[in-house]
Amino acid sequence: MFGKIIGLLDKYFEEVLCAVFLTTMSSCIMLQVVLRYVFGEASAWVEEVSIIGMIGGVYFGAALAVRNKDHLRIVFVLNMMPKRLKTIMIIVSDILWMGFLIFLLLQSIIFMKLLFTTHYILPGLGIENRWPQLIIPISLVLMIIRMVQVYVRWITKKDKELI
Amino acid sequence: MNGPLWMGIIFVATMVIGVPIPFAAGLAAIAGVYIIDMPMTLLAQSAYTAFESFPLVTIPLFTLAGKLMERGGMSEHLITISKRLVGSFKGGMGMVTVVACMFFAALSGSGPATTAAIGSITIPGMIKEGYKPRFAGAIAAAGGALGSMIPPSNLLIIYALSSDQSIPRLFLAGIIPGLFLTLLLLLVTFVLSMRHNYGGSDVRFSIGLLLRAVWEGKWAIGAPVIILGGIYTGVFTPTEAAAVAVFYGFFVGLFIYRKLTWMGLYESLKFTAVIIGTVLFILGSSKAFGQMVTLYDIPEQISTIFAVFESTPWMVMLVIGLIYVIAGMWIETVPQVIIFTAVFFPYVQSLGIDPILFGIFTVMTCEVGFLTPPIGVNLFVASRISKTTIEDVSIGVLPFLLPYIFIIILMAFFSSWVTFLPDLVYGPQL
Repeated sequence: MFGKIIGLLDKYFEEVLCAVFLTTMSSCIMLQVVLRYVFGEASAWVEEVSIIGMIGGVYFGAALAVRNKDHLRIVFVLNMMPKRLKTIMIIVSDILWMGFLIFLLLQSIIFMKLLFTTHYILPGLGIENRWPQLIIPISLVLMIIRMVQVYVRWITKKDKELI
Repeated sequence: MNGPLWMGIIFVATMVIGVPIPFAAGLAAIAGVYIIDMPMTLLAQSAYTAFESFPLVTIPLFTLAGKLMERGGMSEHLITISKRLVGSFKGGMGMVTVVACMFFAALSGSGPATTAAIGSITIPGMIKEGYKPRFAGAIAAAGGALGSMIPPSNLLIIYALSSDQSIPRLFLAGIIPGLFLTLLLLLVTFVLSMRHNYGGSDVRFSIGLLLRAVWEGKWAIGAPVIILGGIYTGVFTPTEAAAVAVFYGFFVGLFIYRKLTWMGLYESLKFTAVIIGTVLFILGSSKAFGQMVTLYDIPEQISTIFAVFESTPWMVMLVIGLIYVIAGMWIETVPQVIIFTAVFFPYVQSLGIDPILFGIFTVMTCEVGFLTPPIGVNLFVASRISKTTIEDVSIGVLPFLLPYIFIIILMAFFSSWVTFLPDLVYGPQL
């Protein structure tokens, strides 16, 4: 039972999140068009929600792309190298990548702490700006987990290639 | 320490060993922030604030709309119309590909998406008619690049946001060069088909058949009318038009052409998420990168370097064009437009070059980079569909680069043919 839940989460977690965020984004703007023609007014929350939808789509989409190995690398140089060296280069570049993710996560935690001591209310939605900003650290954690997963699958020989 | 130099070295070095481009830009930005001694939380902050721009939402929307229209069966209708229009000429299927790409470009804002949508149907068709796979892939790749030229265009939106120009104006300015490019691509296809003796379809051209195909494809043809018509009559803002395009594609696909399934909708959303997660993601790291460019006064340094050309606009444009083409061989177009617009735009504007013209020029030169190895996304898509190597398609695409280069040179010397349409509609740029 527990394993099944993990399996489902593994397969669909980011996908479903992205789908929800992007659907919200599109529907909100469509709603705005309708509201504007029917009631003749545009509301500020529509812009805020659609931007949050896009940011969620971008960051959880990036986590999804880590799992699917969809991030764009320059493979031209890599492919010219002998196989051993190629693997080493990929591992080095992934360590740098991972280092960046961890660094950014630490910085965004510091930044979130700052946001939690100040008040900034989004004018349209009337909620604290810090809540949507949580997308960044959460998605960074997801990206780190997904990257570890890519390596676990490679070391246990479930996947043949790293990229 | 020389900040920009270190940033450049780190960016290129990490990219070459295989760090994905947005993260390589992020590492370079860390170096820049470190050298200039700013708080590192700036990076965490700009990871969010870089996306707080409402017009930016247009990009995921147009990506989603294009995918929904493709899944919903609109691309088949566009291909049928193109077949009735140019299919009977020599090299018919090749020309059908170019024309269908032109139509699809008016639905989609992305080059690779256009190549995939049209190419996945017409490339196998061309190979079946005896076209070399290399040639078939090259036509689709070159035609797909129209996706970024003919409005709506994601690259023009990115340019508009980076340089603070009007999106509708840029969209209008893209129409004439886009159509001109289509004609030149058709010409190249025709000449090459004559040489290789690729035939046309057996069905002779008939106005009746064409009109019938247009009538059957009216919902597909209607999409650009609603999207662009809506923007120019002032009914929608570009962002709203993009959302309307999403729902139009959704309803037509689901209820009229009935090719779209709920699974297809889910797949389209997933596709959009991966595209924006890999491509648009770079905005988060390159915003800090762009701030560094301003802080280090790079535009000022550029004008010192370019002083060699004695501020002759056409010479400056050709040199910038050359830099863009070379850079475009290595970098994805979206980061390229963001980074280089920040670097060159202030200088170009001070020379009195029309910012709208420069936008079209930027996109056109980036497109050449898109069609040249090693990082040609269009080539990559086309080579996968035509089942040849990317090297093979990149040789095949060489003759198709001529129209692009011709138009780039033309733009460096004459500007009024590009700015004519937006000036006509909105009055001259102030």
